[in-house]
Amino acid sequence: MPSSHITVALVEDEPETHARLLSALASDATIDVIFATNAAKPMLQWMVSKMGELSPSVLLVDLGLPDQSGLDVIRLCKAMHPTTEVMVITMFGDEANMIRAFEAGASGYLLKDGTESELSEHVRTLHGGGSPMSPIIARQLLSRMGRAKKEADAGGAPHTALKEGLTKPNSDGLLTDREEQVLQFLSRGYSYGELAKQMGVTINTIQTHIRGLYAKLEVNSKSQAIEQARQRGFFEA
Amino acid sequence: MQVTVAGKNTLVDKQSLPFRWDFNFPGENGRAQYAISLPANSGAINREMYAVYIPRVGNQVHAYLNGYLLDAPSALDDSLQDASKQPYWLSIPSVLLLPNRPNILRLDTTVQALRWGGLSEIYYGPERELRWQYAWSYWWQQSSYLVIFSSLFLMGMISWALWLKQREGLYGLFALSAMWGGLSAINQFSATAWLPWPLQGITASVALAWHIVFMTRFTLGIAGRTSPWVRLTLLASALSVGIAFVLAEPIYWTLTVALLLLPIVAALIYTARAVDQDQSKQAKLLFVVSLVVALTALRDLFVVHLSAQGMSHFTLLPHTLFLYVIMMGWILVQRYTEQHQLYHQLNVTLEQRVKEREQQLSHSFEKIQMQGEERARLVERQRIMSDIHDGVGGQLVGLVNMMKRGEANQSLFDQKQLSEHAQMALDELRVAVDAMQPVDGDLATVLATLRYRLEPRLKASDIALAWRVQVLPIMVDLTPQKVLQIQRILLEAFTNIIKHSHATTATMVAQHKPSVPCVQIVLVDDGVGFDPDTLTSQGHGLGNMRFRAQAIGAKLSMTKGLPKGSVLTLEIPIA
Repeated sequence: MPSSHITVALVEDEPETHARLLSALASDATIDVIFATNAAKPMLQWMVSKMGELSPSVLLVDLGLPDQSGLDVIRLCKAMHPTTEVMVITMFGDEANMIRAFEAGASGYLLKDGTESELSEHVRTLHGGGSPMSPIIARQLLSRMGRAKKEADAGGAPHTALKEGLTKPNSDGLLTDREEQVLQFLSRGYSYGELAKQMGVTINTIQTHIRGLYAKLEVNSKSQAIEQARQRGFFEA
Repeated sequence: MQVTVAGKNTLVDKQSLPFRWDFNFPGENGRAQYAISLPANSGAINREMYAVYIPRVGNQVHAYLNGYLLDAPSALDDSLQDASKQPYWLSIPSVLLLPNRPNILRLDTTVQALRWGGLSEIYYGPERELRWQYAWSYWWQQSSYLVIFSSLFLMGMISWALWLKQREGLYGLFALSAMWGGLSAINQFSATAWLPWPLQGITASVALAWHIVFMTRFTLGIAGRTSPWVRLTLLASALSVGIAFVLAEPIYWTLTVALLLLPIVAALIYTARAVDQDQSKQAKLLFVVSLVVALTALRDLFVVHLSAQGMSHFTLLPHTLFLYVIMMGWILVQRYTEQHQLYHQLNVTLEQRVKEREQQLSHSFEKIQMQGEERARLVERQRIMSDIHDGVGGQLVGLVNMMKRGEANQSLFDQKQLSEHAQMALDELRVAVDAMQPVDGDLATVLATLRYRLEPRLKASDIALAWRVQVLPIMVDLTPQKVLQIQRILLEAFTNIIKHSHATTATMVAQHKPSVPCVQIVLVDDGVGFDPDTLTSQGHGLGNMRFRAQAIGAKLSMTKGLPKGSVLTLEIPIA
């Protein structure tokens, strides 16, 4: 297998979609499907067996699996194979609920809306560092993270206005001004290209912001889990 | 002693005091002069202050010592003044005392019949020895009546107010009794009369009698008895008082006082029976008070009214009647406490009932809420069904018809048309689902989602989309139904551009117009445009778009673009 090839693992229980996805991926010579299954448990077993040995570049996972939640698959995959990019296969119209998948560690998604033919392109984009973000997801993130930011600002938490073109890493998981600006434009329907032009940056910078936002969701989710565990006394001797 | 009656001087050989005028000269007004020889003493030598204390002297008095006028509190014969109501005190200046021989104290008095005229025993000695006796006597004859009056006034007012509010007879009786008792008390502690004698005497005596009658009626009321003879007793006592004063004979006055014993004794008997029937603390207390009052009335009759020694004693009945005032106060406190406990119990019961009712209401509310939610779900379900039926269903039916026609006649089989229909069905499905997405009242997100869905098709048709969507105000009334109508209008417009316009560029502008206020959406293309003269409401689904705009209260217009193409304007009002 050439090193430039993208390795993909797939878990999808719906036979027709499963077949369509496999077909779409097979049509691209740069993509190799190394494991495909229709349930969570075989996928988890496979990931355990390949831990430290082989990690897929991209994991395609359906959230509504028959034996276990797709969210568990994402979480365990990110734990065992941190370098793997996770892409969620979801019904279109379910974006509002996608936040939980991003919190679990997903960084991309594919809508089951008949455009799966472009799947290989989506996989390549994700592998190359790009992540999609629909206006509805942007709106959800604004509502959720923007509220946390306002509360932190009101409480006197340090928040620095950012210089044009720069994104200051924000370890507290709150939105930076730049990220908020990106989400505002995306929720109003602007494309990454238009957004880059408006903000005077490259598309790659925008992509970095998007990945940063997804990562922040995951960090937030993990921080909350740790905090909850601490409050419940899991860390006490 | 020398006594003058009707202008004639008469010597009364009765040397010993007290001297009671009415017993000696019944029914007569007159003058009396008393000359008392004060024993020689050392007051003049050691300069100690001496005084004369007389428990009672009536009715107007001038005092002389060794011929010098010492005291004249009022003019003689001034019947508006009465010295007998309070003890008499005379300070003796030591300079006027003759050393080592008797000093003559002369008292010139004028007397009105039946007014306690006369002279009680006389006390003479150092001031410091007599002062306390005088003070004690003054308290019983004056100060105590002020206390009685104040208490009667206060309790009378309270009872009056309670009677006005509750119309309970017991309060009314006490108020009436207090009123007459107060009048009687005023007569006692006020040295100046408000009417000439004997009218003053009649008024004060009737007041005392009625005070007693109403108080005994009040007592019977507490004991749970009614008495039909109240009016009769009131009339009889008033008549008796009137007759006694008109005839001015002491015996009639004594009989009147004895007559007043009847209601008092009746009250005693009834309260005793009440104790026998009801062993309550209140009944016992009432009996004790009635007993004390009856004994006092008897004591007054024999010790004060019937005895010549009465000049030196004072009636105590008004004081013991005061016990009824205390009794009334105690009853009020008891009733208040009982009411308070009752209200407390009522409150507890009420709270329980309110809680029960709250729970019932809560259950009812939950039920109503559930029914409401169920209704809302049903309405929403029907709306979604209707949307899918009208949109996706319509397209699918069209698609099926086309396929059937194609099966029947291969020449009518148009794959491109079929594909378009299938695409439209899919678009309808997308907008129907997207309309249900949470957008937090942000119309910009609705437009953005439409773009997100249509962008691949526009790209496939080589149409560049310029996007100019500004920050729009939050629309609180942006319901899924409204979202669906807006999306369908714009979907129709975009489909027209893709299918018919041959445009290369489309521009979408959305802005807030605060002056209207509305959100204005403008979709411009550079295609072939249309001829407004031939454009009918059916053309390119314009009728449908107008209908949908009207349904959400929006305005839709279609004009020719400059230099070419078309301009669709949709103005959505903001609530």
